[in-house]
Amino acid sequence: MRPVRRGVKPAGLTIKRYSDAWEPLKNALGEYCSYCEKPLTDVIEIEHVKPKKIFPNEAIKWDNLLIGCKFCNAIKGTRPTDDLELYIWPHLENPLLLIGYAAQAPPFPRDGIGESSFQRVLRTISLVGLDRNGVSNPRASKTDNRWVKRDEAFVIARNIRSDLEAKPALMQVEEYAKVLRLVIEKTGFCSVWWTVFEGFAAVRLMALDAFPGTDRDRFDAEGEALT
Amino acid sequence: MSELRRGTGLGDRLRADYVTCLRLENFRRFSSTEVSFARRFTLLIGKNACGKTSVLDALSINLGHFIPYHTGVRLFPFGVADVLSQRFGTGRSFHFETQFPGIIRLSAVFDGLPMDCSVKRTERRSSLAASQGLAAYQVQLTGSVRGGADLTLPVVAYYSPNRLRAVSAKRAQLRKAGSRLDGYVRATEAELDFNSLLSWWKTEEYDAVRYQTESIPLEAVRLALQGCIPGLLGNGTHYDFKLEELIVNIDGRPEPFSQSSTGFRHFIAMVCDIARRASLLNPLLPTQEVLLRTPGIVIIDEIDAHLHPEWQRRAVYDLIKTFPNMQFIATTHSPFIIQGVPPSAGETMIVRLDDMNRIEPQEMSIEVAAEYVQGVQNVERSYVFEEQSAKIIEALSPALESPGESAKRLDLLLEAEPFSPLTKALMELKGIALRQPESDAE
Repeated sequence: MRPVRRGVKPAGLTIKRYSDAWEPLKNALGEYCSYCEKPLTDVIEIEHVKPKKIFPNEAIKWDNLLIGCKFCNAIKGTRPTDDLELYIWPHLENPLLLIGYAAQAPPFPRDGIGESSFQRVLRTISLVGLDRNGVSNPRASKTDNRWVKRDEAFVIARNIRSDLEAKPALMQVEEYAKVLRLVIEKTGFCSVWWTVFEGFAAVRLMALDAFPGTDRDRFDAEGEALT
Repeated sequence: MSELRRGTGLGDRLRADYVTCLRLENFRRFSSTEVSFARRFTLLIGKNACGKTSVLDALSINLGHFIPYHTGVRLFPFGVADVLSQRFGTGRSFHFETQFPGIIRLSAVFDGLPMDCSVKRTERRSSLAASQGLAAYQVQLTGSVRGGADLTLPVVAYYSPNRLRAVSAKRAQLRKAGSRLDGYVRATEAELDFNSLLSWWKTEEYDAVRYQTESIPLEAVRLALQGCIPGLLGNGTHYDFKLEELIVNIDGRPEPFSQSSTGFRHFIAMVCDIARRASLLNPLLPTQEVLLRTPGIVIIDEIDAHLHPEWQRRAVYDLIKTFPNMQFIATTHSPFIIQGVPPSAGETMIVRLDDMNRIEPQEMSIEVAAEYVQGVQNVERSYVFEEQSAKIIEALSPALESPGESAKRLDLLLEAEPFSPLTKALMELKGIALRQPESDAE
């Protein structure tokens, strides 16, 4: 989960129905799920940080809106999240400091983050079911392909990293950099790129920039995560 | 034969019982295979349907050899359906024939002596067969138990979360014969039943009130819980007679056992069950020694089931520390469990069943551990290039010797067929990388 910034509510936007917000939200955050980071291809859903059923007033507030894929959104459902501090939210802090990613494994709490953050990570992971995979959830995971796509992103990113390690000059080839950025955009999963390209600032920064709305203030010039 | 009659109970020598090697012939999907085990902990990993549970089932079918024969303990059944069914023919015309006999051979150490045994399934029946030495040992063992001899009996137990269920109250009733051998009742049936745990705990607490001191089994169970479950206060766990419920106390917060999470209940019930069996089997050992000295073979399917990552990381370590003389054999899909297997010169081992690769446990990162689970090379192909993958792999095959040739083939393929935008971009990217001359970085 990358940190995001929606920016201020666009001037002139009045949200009467929450669907009015879709276009500006997409421009601000890109067509990726704010939780699992999967590229949205078919179903596009607006995600209410606080569920619209329980907090009807929040349904049309710009600050309550993110983008959710159909799985994250459905699993989260109407679970009351009124105490935001119990969870990790991509627009409120830098989740990359707390949530670790690894190939073929569910996201996990990073080492040494303290008990309360540890619990927040576990809560967040189960809130949107990020730990679902073919083993933990054989039935649901037939349609819920978030874990497959995340693993795919790992394989793609690692493949590219090994090419780049063998031939570092590739990054200077204009065409390569252009196509790489396209690959990153199409693959999605900012956190996976960020994780795989640890110690490889050029690609890390490219990945942070490739996805609209990444909160760059939460990273330093080398792409390291800041609070 | 006299060497078999060594008194082991309270003496100095630790009794050792463990399995070393399992050979399967015509069992489930294996026509012939061999798996070996480490003394303290063996972790079986591999993809779904690579036979992890089959290996565990085969082991527990053979565990009957550790239990004195003819004691009425029901053993894990070896049915006709467990024998390999081989397919003949091609296409739509084929038939299946069951390959009798199915044989499971086991090499194991019984009370310090290596011996062989097997279980065979023919069309008509399944039968245990033991080597001469083991047969003699069995006669000896049965006689010793009956004669009240001072010897330690090994625990055998098989746990599987898939078969976790609450057994009906009637079935849950333990045999109340008072024999040591009660410790083997339902040991290999792969079920954990909460009801009998509850009724056992209740009886023990009644008893403790009556004699104003707790029994050794109850003390041993408390001690084991403290060892295996972080934050659980062994002394705070008690049976509440008003609620008719076991109350567990974690970090000073008491809560009813039935309302705890599944993973928690499962793990607690398993630890309790091991400790309880150990003390039932060896009623004359003092509390401390029950856990330290009792040998045994404990088989756990999906040891990670329902446990959260922090627990998974320490589960293996806690188990083998709490029951230091037992042998554990477990399966998992979790990198956290793999990461948590402590390295210990040959005493612990990870076996990948896909390719029978043995992996020495070591300090490894979660990523490395994750890669072991499924073997990343195979996955790589099928994942990256979902469609037309065979063609792309074919195009990439000369990449090492002549990258230019590979790049050319990729270009041709790109012209010839439509690809998804991502696959197309990946192929273009690979093409540029292949054309880039080697080592011009300096």
